[in-house]
Amino acid sequence: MTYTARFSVIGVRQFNVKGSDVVKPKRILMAKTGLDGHWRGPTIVARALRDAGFEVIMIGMATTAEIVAAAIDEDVDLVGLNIGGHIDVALRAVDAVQSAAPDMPIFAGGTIPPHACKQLEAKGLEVFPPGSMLTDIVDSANRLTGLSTAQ
Amino acid sequence: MSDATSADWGDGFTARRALAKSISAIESGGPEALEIEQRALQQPAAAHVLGITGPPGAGKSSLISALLPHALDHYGAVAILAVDPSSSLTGGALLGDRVRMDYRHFDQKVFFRSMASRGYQGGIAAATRASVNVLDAAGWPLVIIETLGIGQVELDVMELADRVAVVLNPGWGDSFQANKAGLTEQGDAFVLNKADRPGLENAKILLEQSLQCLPAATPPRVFTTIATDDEGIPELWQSLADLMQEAPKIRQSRRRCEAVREGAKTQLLRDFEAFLASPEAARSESAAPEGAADLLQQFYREQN
Amino acid sequence: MRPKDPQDTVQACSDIPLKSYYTAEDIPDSHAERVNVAPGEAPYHRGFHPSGYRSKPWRIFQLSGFGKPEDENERIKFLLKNGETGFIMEHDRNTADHCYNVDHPEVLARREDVGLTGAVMQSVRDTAICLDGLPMDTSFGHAGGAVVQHAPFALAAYWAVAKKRGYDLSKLAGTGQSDFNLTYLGCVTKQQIPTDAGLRFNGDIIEFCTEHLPRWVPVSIAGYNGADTGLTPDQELGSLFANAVEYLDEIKLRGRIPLEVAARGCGGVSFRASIKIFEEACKMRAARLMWSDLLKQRYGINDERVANLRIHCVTAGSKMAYQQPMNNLVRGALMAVSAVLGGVQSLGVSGYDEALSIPSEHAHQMSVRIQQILMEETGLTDVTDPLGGSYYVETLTAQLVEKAWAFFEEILARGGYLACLDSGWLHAKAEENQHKEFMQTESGEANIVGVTMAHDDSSPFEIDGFIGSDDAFDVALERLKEVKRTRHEKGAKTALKDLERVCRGSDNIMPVMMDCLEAEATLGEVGDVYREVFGDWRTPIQC
Ligand code: B12
Ligand SMILES: Nc1nc2c(ncn2[C@@H]2O[C@H](COP(=O)(O)OP(=O)(O)O)[C@@H](O)[C@H]2O)c(=O)[nH]1
Ligand SMILES: [Mg+2]
Repeated sequence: MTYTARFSVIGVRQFNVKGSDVVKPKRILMAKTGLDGHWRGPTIVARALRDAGFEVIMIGMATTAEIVAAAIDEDVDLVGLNIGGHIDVALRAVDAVQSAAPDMPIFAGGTIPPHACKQLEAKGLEVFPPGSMLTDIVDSANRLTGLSTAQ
Repeated sequence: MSDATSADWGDGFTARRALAKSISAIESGGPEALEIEQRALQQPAAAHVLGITGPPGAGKSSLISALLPHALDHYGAVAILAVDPSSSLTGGALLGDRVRMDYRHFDQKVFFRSMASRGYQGGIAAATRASVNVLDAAGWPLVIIETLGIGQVELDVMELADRVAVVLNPGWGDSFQANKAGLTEQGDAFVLNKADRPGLENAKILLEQSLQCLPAATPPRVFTTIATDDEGIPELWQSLADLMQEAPKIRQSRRRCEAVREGAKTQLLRDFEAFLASPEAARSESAAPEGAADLLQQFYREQN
Repeated sequence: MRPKDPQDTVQACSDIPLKSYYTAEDIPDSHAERVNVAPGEAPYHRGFHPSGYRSKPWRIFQLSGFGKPEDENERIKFLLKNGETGFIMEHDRNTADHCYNVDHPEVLARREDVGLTGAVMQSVRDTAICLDGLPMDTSFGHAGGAVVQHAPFALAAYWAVAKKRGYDLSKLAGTGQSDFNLTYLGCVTKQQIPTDAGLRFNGDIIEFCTEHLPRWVPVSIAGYNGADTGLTPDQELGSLFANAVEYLDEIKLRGRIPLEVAARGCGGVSFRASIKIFEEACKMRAARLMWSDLLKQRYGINDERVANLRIHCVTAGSKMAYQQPMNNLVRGALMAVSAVLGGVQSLGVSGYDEALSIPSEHAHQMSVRIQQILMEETGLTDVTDPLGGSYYVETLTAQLVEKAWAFFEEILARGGYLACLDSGWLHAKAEENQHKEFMQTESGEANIVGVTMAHDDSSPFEIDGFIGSDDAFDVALERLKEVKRTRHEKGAKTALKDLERVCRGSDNIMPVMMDCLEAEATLGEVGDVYREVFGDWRTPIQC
């Protein structure tokens, strides 16, 4: 697998006053819906996304209201949810984000059993349970933020 | 005009999203960014701007979190711009300042924006100034800027903020020997945070000595705090609030003048580039700088 | 995984290059004499009892619990009926780990999550329900309280129930863990007391147990929690003993109880048994050796009974895959084998549904069955330290000891184990290892069956996440109101006042904690006292 190579495709994007031909780095929110402290998942995913050229805003464990407020103020291109607890808590956050910003895509990962994956997918999320490859997660971020159209 | 340029930045949820989108547009740069800032400048300046600078890990974010309830009491609403470095390799960034915030103080009266430096070298982002001007125009009475971590060249925040607090830790003298001078000239107030760590007294003496050497009549004050325990915070806030009241107007106008100047500069550049692409320029054979300037003058004459 | 070329270097997880075979020459000189030592002889890497598992099988000890206290009680009874030989109470992480009651805003915001991974026990009444009919007097009980700030409450609750049932505390055997790795390194809570306050709690628990519960393991350092967060086996060892040094130095400084007694109390630890069978078995051998050396060299303790390190092992949860979960039965068994080859005293095997949810009843039963099969059918228990004398195993044991001491020294040079938690240095180590491990699977250098290869699955079993009960929150809220309504209010308030006074001073916290529990003070009220007195730990990580 060509992990590094895929990352470097995105390359350096710098601020440029001329503005015409530069790609703006896409911004992703990374939040934990549960009150569990498992930080390995979100950290490793955030690092992969950063290495792929994304700006990742970490907010740690956050309530639905805090997630929505952060997504709006930070004007992110994509909301990432690490789900470590009951799926209903996460679904509430998904609903809230989708009603506050219907155009904002969401993807999720963490301890998500099959029945919960289906519920999230039904709401239009891309879901990455344990064992997901980071390259696939980066691909999904590229797709969801419109950086690539590859399926 | 897009949503971002024409946005209503006033009160309310939709306005908040528009404000956030305007900042994104500024970050993206380009004509839209300029337009937004120029529109912001049509409002008279009213906001106070406080800069918080200091090395990575000094506790800048933690201090802002601790100051926030006081700032809210005083100003009613507070906007925060927190800058973190972008990777020069990939352009990506991990923006972690929010994690230090105590969300219990967060509500509609707090606007928090994480910003990656995106290659800009001054300790802030290229978009920071314009964002401050927009927040000002949107009616946010206090804007706090957290810089990304001090180096010798990170003086830009002084151009932007009415007042700057420099955050250091006990032991700062060991690691910042080299640029002590540059560092001490930056601040209107100095904060020795992590006062719970060993070496506080030494650090304080060292710092006060360095500050005595400054030309100013009254050297800036040194505060000791433990941001994570709220220790020393009320005193620090009181003093910062007083300093802000007395802040020289010059900084405020500087931040706006700079915006106007940059607007003009960019406008000129863009005209010139348009000109270079034009048949007139194609006709010309001169590529030397003087020749180019001549051509531009000629271009303007023809325009009028 | 097989290297592409047989000549390529193969590394152990502890970053030790492995040869393709070993001979007597490879065993380091420092270790050569130790090879000839018999089990039961110092430095005990070969075990403490010559007769090993022949005289005493390991304890089958599974983490268990969810929902309401009665749900947890039922699950524990199920496991005991199936052959578990001790029991572990698991507390709800939303409430217990944070010392919140269910009506705390952070919990209210996640009410459905309450009880998902442990039972809610907000007062001694709840603990009594959970312990109803359980053999507290004859069995080794784990009272919960794995989280440092929760331990005094959980222990006092357990002991208060025991007292009420007429048991003699001085005969009670069990543990409460109170482990720093769990929430200061592994799963960092939203809010918890600073590490120095935590050290004081653990010192108090050690002293209190010495006086009142001599058979209780007062604190139990969980190398497991460090390892499954990303520390390598040598780092797991090094950090565990650096942690033990914090406790022993604290007790020595206080000077109130004999150091030998405290050392015995700290000598019940847990390790992770992961998937590299030989390295893990070597780790258990190395641990015993290091403990006996540490006590001798740093504290001058030579007493054999004190040097007896008792190891509980849990198989690595992070090696259990989400995809093709039946494969995890095999993984669980093999990891258990590594622990047994290492001669551990107690064992828990993760469920085959580990990556999906807490274990279902069937997964739990299988974890017990795996252990029973190893114990009864395989002959693994016939000979003590069966790997002893293997060129490879002895060499790797010695190399692990050396690397682990180097890591230990590095931690001490950085101000000690707690300072390395405060600064985030240990977290950075774990994260770096994690990243490396991930890059290996992403690049195809390492494989995980069913995840990176062998994707076809013809298993007829459909497995989904286990959800224990849906009324844990509602019942807990009711019971909270009930206990506040019906308890002797003045008594509870006085006890809490006393607790605050003791927290602000330096007396042992445990006697007044017992008063609090007996006066039916609730978890959240105790937590409020902590928050008021101790403030919040400065989490060094950004997540
Ligand atoms: C390692 C581990 C720990 C470590 C901590 C690790 C850490 N710092 O993160 C330790 C040992 C400390 C620990 C403790 C506990 N744990 Co734990 N832990 C695990 C374990 C074994 C592996 C998790 C892991 O780190 N995997 C590696 C990471 C990288 O994978 P990941 O998080 O799944 O992330 C991947 C994807 O999900 C995805 N992803 C993740 N986040 C995101 C976000 C976005 C936006 C996207 C796109 C993708 C994405 O990408 C990643 C790469 O593939 C799991 C079981 C398992 N096998 O999954 C249990 C597990 C998560 N733990 C569990 C429990 C119950 C606990 C404890 C409560 C137990 C206890 N009482 O001691 C405590 C927690 C205490 C607390 N206060 O929170 C349960 C949770 C049950 C549930 N949710 O229903 C699990 C499922 C085990 C179980 N079956 O019981 N744990
Ligand atoms: N001991 C101590 N730690 C502090 C103090 N203030 C902040 N910290 C910790 O220092 C680390 C860095 O703080 P942060 O606010 O993120 O620093 P920044 O990079 O300057 O914004 C965090 O772990 C904080 O919890 C303090 O006063 N004392
Ligand atoms: Mg910061």
